[in-house]
Amino acid sequence: MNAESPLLRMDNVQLSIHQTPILQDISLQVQAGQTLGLIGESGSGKSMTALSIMQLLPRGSRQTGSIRFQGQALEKLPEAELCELRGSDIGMIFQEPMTALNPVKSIGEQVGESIRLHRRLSRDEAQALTLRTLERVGLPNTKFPLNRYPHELSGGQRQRVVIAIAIACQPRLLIADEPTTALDVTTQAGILELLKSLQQDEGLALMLISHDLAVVSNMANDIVVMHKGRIVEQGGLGAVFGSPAHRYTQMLFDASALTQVSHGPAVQTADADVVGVEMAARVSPINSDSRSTPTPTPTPTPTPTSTSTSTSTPTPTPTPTPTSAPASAPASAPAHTSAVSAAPHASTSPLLQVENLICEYPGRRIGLFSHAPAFRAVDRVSFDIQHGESIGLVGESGCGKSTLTRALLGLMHLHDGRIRLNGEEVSAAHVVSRAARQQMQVVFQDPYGSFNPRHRVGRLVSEPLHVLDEPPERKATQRRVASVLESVGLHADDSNKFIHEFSGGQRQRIAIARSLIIEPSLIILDEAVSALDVSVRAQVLQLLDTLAREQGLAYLFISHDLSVVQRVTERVMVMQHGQIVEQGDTAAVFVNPQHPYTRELLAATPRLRIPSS
Amino acid sequence: MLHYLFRRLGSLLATLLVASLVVFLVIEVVPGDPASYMLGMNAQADTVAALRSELGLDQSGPARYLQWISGMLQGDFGQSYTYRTPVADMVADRLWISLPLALYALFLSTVLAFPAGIWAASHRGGVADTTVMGFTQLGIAIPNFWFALLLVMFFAVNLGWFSAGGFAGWESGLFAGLKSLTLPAISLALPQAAILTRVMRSSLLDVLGEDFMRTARAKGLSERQALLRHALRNAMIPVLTIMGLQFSFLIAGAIIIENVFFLPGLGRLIFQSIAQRDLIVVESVVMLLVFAVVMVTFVIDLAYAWVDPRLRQQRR
Repeated sequence: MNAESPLLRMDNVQLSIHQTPILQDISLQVQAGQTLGLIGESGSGKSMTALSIMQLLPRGSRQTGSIRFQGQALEKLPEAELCELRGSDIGMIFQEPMTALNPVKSIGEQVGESIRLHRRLSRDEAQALTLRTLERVGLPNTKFPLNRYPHELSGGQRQRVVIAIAIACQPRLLIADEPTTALDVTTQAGILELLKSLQQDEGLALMLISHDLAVVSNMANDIVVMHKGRIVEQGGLGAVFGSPAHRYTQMLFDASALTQVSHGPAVQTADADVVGVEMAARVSPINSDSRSTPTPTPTPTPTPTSTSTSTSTPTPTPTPTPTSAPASAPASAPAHTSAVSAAPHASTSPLLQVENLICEYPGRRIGLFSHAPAFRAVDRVSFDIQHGESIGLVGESGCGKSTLTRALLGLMHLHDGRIRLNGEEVSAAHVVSRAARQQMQVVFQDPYGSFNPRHRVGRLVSEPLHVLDEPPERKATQRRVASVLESVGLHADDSNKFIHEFSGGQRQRIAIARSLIIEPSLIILDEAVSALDVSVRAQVLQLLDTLAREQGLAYLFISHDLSVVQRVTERVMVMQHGQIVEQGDTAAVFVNPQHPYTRELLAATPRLRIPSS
Repeated sequence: MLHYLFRRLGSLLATLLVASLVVFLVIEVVPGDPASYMLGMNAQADTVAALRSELGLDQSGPARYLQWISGMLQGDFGQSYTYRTPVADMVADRLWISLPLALYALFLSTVLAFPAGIWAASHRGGVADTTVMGFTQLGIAIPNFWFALLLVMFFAVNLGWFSAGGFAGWESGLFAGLKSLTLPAISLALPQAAILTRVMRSSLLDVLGEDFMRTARAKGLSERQALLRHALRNAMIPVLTIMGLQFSFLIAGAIIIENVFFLPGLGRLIFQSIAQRDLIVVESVVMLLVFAVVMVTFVIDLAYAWVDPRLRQQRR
């Protein structure tokens, strides 16, 4: 192989699975020692491109075109030689670290297996190399002995083990398929750092597949943008990101720029090419002050009954509200970041009052009668939500967000403290107040798992009506279902369909419809847009915005994603180790974070970076 | 791990205690007095009373329960009402047939089911899969006594390789003993193997779809290596569960097959004892079976922990 020919070269690769075309005309190159960023939304064919390089395509696949790795045509290699190549010359890491490792084998076994498979080494040598590899990925033997099992490690640590498996034999090419999507931001920063250093130190080429433009912009030299199985644009990072030529890239770019965390001057470095700031100027938090001054109705969302995410249609850009652009005006932002009582709304009593809430999980049993000390998941948390307010709760996994959500919903025993909704206790003596149920609904993260697949949409959506004191008659129920479905941009006819007929974004709309049907005053959105693609996410956020304005809803927006929270909330709370470490006006917190943890979170959030081309 | 073991043992003893109470109570409320049954319809009232006191039936319930339990703990299961021989000896004789038969059948079923299940799973949707699945349907559908009769007709009557029934006795040698258990074991194993094959296949298919199987392939394992090294052990939990249930069933559930082959096993013993109101034998055999089931569950629990490190930790 001469110096100029690329390490990997795909020419006119077509792929179909059971006659359904998946990839069309994929031609790309990965240069030795370089990083190629492959971006696109779910279903765009990114992962299938990766799997076709690995030649690990699902059954029923038919692939044509040529894939040359170091000059060898991969599609012509016999399976045995491909096995030698995989894990040795080409390594691959995956999106979901929680399930990517075999749960019944120790990490030493799993990393060592990769080494023994490809290298003729003695037992001791193989073990030494295993130890070195794990050390290389930041898992030193002193803290992470080889006999650890995956379930004893965190998500980030597991991803490091997966990386160790992939790089143990010093491959020339590492394919990373959404390696950090499932991880918290601070963990994500660590993994990206590791990938970068591996790439530089070992000179390996990296193919980074991601839907997150910010992540890619910080890592890649070259960019390939995929959409519906085709490459719509490719080139150098500066060229593609600096002046996106294709309409789709443009759209993707706008949609993600909308949900960019913009940093105030305190955090932000001087480079003016951070798009976030500029874009944030166009963003208004959901139902910010604009409620008093009626704003023009936002652009209607594209017909949602069309299958899939309908990404080709341009995303509605949120209505620019002249009244508020908090993130862009850091100087004018109020500096009180611990203003609990200084609610911006001068309403009489708060909608939701949480006072000194403590939730504990019992420790595991260590003897017949003794328990380990209880784990305090929520520790003395107090906050209020005003009528019509939209408030964010951010924090990383394990910080107690979910427990707090469960407590608010009355699904959890409160160790101490109280939760009142409109002055009424949410749960007294383990019985959830019916009145509270009628006022509060929830939308969960997983648009696939949170519906019973055997029920029709009409039944799913009308379910909360049972908590009403007088559930409506059949006809009235149908009318209400139809009207909420229409209010979330679906059709009344959709109530006769089953949930599998809808895309992720549409399902999340149905979940919102379900929460709206009893006309609550508070909706808890538990990572409600985290599983959605950027363009779909923008649409759903837009919908929430509209609904809030029309119906005066209050939102508790729980998310690990700072950008979304910044985009849609007026106030934000930052949670760590069960405590709320900082709360205040969203703009103020993001511009001028007070608590070190908030700063750490903000610093770890990748920013979309556009180098001058 | 030791702690886990002790806790399992503790719950095992508790289960046995509860089971013994239930067995005793149930037998108490069942109508039919052993003494009058033994003496026949025309027995004098005082003769019956005398026999009752001789058998200890005139004592209070709790007293008899305590006697029964303490006797069992010392290996004394009491005297059979009908045969006037120690129950322990009767049961031991039968167990020497039933236990080997159950193990033999379990062995055959495993040997059949594992390869068949793995084969079917790794050729999902192919001819191999369809064929194996077709045979398992047959295996489940065919009544095992009818299959046993076919086996007798073919191998015993036509070919004369095996005797048509009866047990040669272990004293005539291991081979002779196993030989007389072979046809019964095959007829018992067949439906079990069919079920186990299906469980193995579906469990494996679940595991084959897991993310870590992709990781295994990406590190360069062939399909076969990945299946054997990574999928099999993960697929074992449901398979072990079914094996445990099947073994428990085989110990006493072989009654029809025992009848077909004239084997003096536990199943026949308990059937006869019930027919003759020989309550003490029924109680003892049922307790023995409870004990066996509890022990099998215990062993299966240990096997779970051996297979899956997560279970070791949770219950530590």
